Amino acid sequence: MEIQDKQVGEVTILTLKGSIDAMTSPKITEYINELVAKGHIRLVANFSAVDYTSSAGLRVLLGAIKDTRAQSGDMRLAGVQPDVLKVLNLSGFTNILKLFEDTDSAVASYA
Amino acid sequence: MHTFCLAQFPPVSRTQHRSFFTVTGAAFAWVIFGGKILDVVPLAHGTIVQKLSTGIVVLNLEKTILDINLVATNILGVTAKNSVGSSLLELVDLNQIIAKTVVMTLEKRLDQDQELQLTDPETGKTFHILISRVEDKHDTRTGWLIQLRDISQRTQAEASLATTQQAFETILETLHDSYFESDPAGILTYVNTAFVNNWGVSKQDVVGKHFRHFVHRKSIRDIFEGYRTVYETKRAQRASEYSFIRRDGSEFIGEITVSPIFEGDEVIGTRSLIRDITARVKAEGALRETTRTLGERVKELDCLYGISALVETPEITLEEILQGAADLIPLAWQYPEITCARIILREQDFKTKNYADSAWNMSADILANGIKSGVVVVHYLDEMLDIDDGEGPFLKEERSLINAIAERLGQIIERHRQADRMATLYEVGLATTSSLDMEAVLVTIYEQCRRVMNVDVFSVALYDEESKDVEYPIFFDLGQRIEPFRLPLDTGFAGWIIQNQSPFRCDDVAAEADQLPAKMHHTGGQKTRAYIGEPLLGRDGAIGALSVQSYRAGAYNEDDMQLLTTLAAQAAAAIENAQLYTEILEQKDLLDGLLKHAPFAIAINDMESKIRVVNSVFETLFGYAQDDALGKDLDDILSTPEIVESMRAISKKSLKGEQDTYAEGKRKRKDGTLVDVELFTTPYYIGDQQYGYMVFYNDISERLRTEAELKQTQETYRTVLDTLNDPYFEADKAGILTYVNLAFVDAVAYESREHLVGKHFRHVTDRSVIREVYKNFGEIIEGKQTVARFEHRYRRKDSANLNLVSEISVSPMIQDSEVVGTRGILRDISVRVKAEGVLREAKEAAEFRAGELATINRIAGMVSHTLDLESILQSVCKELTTIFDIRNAGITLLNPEQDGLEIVAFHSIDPEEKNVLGVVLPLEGNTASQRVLKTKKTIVIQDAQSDPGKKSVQDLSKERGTKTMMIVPLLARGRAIGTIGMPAIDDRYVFLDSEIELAETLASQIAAAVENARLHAQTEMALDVVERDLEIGRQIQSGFFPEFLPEIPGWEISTHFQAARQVAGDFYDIFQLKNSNYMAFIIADVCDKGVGAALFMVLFRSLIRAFSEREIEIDNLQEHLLGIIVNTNKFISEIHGKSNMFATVFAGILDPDSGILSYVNGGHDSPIILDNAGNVIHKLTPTGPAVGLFPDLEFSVKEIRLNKGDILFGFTDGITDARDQTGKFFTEERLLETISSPWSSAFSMLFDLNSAVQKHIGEQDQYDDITQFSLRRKIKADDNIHAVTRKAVLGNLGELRDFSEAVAINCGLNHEHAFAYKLAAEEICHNILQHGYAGREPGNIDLSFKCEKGKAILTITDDGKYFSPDQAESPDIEADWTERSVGGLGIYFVKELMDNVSYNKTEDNRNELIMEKEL
Repeated sequence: MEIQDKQVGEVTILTLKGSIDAMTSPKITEYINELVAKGHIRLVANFSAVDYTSSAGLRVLLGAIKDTRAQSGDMRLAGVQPDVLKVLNLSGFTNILKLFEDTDSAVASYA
Repeated sequence: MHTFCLAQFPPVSRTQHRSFFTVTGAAFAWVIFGGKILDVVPLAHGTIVQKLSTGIVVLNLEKTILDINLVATNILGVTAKNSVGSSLLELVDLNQIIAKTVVMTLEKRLDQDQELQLTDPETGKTFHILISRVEDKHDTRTGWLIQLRDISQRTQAEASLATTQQAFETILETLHDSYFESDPAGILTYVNTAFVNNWGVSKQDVVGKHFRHFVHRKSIRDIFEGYRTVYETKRAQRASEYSFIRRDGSEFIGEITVSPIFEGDEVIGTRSLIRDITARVKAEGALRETTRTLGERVKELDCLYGISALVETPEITLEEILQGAADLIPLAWQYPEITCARIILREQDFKTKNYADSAWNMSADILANGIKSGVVVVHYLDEMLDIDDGEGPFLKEERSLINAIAERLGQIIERHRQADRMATLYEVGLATTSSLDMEAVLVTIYEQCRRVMNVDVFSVALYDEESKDVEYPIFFDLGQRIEPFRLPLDTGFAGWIIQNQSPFRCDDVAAEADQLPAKMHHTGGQKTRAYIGEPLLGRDGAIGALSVQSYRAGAYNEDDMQLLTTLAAQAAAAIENAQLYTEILEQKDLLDGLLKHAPFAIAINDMESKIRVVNSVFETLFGYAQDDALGKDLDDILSTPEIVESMRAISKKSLKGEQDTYAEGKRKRKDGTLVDVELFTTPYYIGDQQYGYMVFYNDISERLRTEAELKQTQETYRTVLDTLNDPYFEADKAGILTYVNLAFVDAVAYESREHLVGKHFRHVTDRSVIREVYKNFGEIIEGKQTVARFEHRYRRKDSANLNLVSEISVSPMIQDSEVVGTRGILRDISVRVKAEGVLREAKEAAEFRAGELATINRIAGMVSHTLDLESILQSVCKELTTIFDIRNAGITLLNPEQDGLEIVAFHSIDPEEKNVLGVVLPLEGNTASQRVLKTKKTIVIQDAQSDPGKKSVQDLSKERGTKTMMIVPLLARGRAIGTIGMPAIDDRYVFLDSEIELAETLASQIAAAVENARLHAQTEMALDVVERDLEIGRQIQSGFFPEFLPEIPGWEISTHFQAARQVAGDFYDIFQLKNSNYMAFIIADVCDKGVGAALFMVLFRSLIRAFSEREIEIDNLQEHLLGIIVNTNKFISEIHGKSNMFATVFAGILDPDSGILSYVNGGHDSPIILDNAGNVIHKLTPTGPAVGLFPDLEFSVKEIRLNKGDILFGFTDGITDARDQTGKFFTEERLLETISSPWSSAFSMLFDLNSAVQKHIGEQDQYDDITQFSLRRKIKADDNIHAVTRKAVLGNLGELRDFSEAVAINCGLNHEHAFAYKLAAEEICHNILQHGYAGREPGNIDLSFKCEKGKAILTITDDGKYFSPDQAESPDIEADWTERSVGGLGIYFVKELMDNVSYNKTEDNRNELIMEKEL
């Protein structure tokens, strides 16, 4: 699992690569918590290179949207791949998360 | 030891008896008479009165006998048979004294009881007589009771007792030892004379006093305890020593023995005997002290002797001596059992087994040759009393001893060190003279140095004359070898030593930092404190430096320095020898190699021009056998009269040392025929000395013939080309035209073909497309491939028809797999292009219309979004022409030579205006541009055609009609890298300040883009080359693995392939032989890596498949298999022999019915056969060499039977050579250990093995391909369970999940199903390890998977806490985000994804979750 962030205007783009699962989720949670603590509450998670997630990954996502939305921010997903989308659909997370084709449209959605 | 024996004294009582009655007797009397029971209990009379041994008579007041017993009858001499009722007086014999006395006593008026004692003179018997009154209930006297007791025996005993007591007292009185008796309160009741004398008191003073007055205070408590013990235990206490005090206050030591005095069972007092042992105690004390002191001295001597004895032990090492000494030390100390010792010598530490630090310790430094080399430390493990001599609990003597030991050890160490130094010099000398391997010698020097001095860091620095810096080929830091590195000559001490050719020593780098001639360069892990270095002096001065360093200050002395001087001299000699030797070896290797493998004939001549060596090609070419040629003159035997002179001229040059003379000509063979050869000669040196020269001949007759033929063919070919209408050209790699057809000459308006050939292609190419053309030609030459057609515009010599556009298709010309040039054909497409252009411009015109601010944003956007420099700049130029009122915009960049500005982007509002893209504007004479670059400020020129600052470009300006223009600098990171030139449309236009400002803002954005793109391009380019090579190789390789594994009933096949980062040439192949049910199993490893290896892998695989295609018959199976390998070998070695490619190949053919495997192993890692229990039962070792080496290699076929449950495992060395972080191999041992266990399936085995390998590799790059196949003969037809077991910890979760996914794919499940099992495995296993084992030692999780009857079944078994999936809370998946939680989602997924989920408790009480899915 690799994770990087980049600032575009007021939006922070997180680029993740690999699996978001029970083994990697603590690291990602910590990463996002640090960003939120520094006031980065408008997040776009680029999921185009995330090939797998489990319920442990959903925990990360739920934590992130609760934290950011509590401060009128959000975390929006871009480029979600089929296996990950399947898990989001199964869990009903597609109803509570905002998904976008790509990062540009996700970033633009904050404007 | 004196003991006091109780048996010597009779048990005598000193107390007088006041009553003659025993306690029992008195009690009876009371019971019988006091209780007056006689009247009422007549029966008691007979039994009690008659049987008493005491005589009893009962009288009434008239003295009539009321009762009398037999004893009384006898005593009183009553004769009457029945005396009862008679008067006593009448019955008794008054002559009998007893009777008379009784009667006389009764005669008297008896008011009270009478007691008397008398002896019968006749019988000599003594009687005790008691006459007492008998009263009734009203206390009225009714008569008398007379008791008569014979006490004769007792009286006698008492008499003799009195005598004995007297004698005893006499003895006590004459004793020298004090004797006393005391009562239970401790009051003295008797003391003897000795007591009186000893204490200087009188008997009267003593008796009645408490004993404690005679005891010294310090002994009172102990004595009291002693007495108490006697009373409690009723036993004598043996002698113990106490202090007593005399009346005069003086003290003496006595030994006291106490025994109890009994009365009955009761202790009523004690008797004690005290012996004065003061003198003895004193003597003993003195003796003990003397013995102890002597003992200590003896121990000390023993210790020192022990150390000496150790030293004398033959072949003992210093380490053994020091350990031995440490062990000896505690024995010499006062309390050996609580003493521990430690000796520290440099970094070595020697301790006694019980060693521990404590607060009570002493130490002494070990000085060897005056330098502190170590320390001896002694600790007491327990607190001991301080002895008042300044050494705490230690003795003065022990201080001297520890010093003596330290001194002795110092001498020993010094001696050993001297011996070691001798040995060191000897070893180093030996290494220097016996080895020419510089590395080995230097490492020996390092190892030897370490033996004799403190070497934390050791380095050998060598001066590199070419690079003028210092290389450190040998560098050890605390025993760790550091990779060689380099430092500049002026860095560090070694550089100083080399420059000054002088040794250097520093005792403390930190303290002397200011006075050092050079700065210490700390390369080791810590800061060096002490340093000594010596120059390595070769024949021509310092070639390097040798240094040892210590992390401890003052670690080195003069001796070390001297030793190092000697070692440095040895090292220098070794290095020079090794260098010389390497040179000789290289020469020799070169020669041998050349001679053996060279495809051309070689002759080596000595300085007399006599042949010394010829190779086999020479023999073949000229017909001279080696023996014929040796010693002859080359110019004699190969010459004809016509050429002999020219041959001699060449030889002469070579003898003079002239390099590389080349010639072509004819030479004469032995049989007289002539052969065309080309030849090189080159002188041959060893060191600086020329030893002769070599001549290389190459037979070129064939070439000459071919060349002649080719020339003819080409001419024919070109005649055809000249008839073509489309222009055609050929060019060399540099782009120089080597041939053009007539159509081409016409197209560019040249006079003739001859004018064009030899010119660069760019001369016929328009500037606008020159870059594209260069790029495409480059790709053709690099990629050896034809590129897609691209656009081309001619640059005609007559400058006409500027807009003629062609489409060019170029392909590489390849000779010997090298691209030697290109050929291309062009076709006119001007019409099409023009149409496209019009369309594009119309579109652009519509698009580019925006305000200034938007432009800046857009340009900024472009800059961050695209890194394609040309397109950015081109777009920017277009933008600029829309913003400003300018006729065109051109961006220039400083060229690499910095002497001109190259126009890299250009756009004009006038489509007819000539494009100046690619034009380089010289800076010389263009002072305006120079000024812009220098001042980094924009300037505006009003008339470019006459402005002196634009002199060098005036012509251009005139040609283009440029007058007023603005030149803006491009500034990147403060540096001017180019300009933007913008000529106004109106000649007299004046640029506004605001316009200049905007232009500058845009310029800064552009400059940043240029800079970014440049950096990006550099990295991309470097990466591209590598990655593309890798990708091609990988694609080739992966494309040739079998897509589906064949199914064999009764057998299971599993394979695993994992590509290394760098492409290697591994492959496996499994296929069914044509028209049979035989199965072929191939695993191979092509030598080398990279695209070449991948290509060869394909070749090997294809050949094996091709040769397998032949029809086979049952009885020639082995021959068939052999044929495959032999033919593959032949093909590769004959056809591709030049490439020196070969492969190790294992090929097996399995008869699935019988289980017989026939195989050939061509040098491949031996496949392994495991039995059902997991034992390695066979290794299929090579039956021939690697395949493809030489044409006629021999291979043989072997046969082995696979039984039910057996596994055949084939692999390549990628697995055994897999390296971990530290470079350690996985090894074959580890491989065997990992697979040696029973497996439920072939897949399970590969999975577990590769998990182990992955753990070993960790984050490292995989070095080589990992390729495996595993073939298992099933025990039963439905034996298809794949299982894996892991401990329930988070670290294993990934493997459990991967297993589930991989096994599903292995069993042919599609992605969707495999994904379901992957997710299910993670969710369930994660639940188990989170909840099932919460707070408990984790157990195992077992996964087993099988596919049957269109159903896949995954079973997860664990022994954690019971948790049925039905218990899980159901998540509300409709909930709003504020209400959502993730709890229970995992189980929910599993239920959703699976068709059937069930939970069981197994027989052995484990949890079993079964997940089924219909396929």
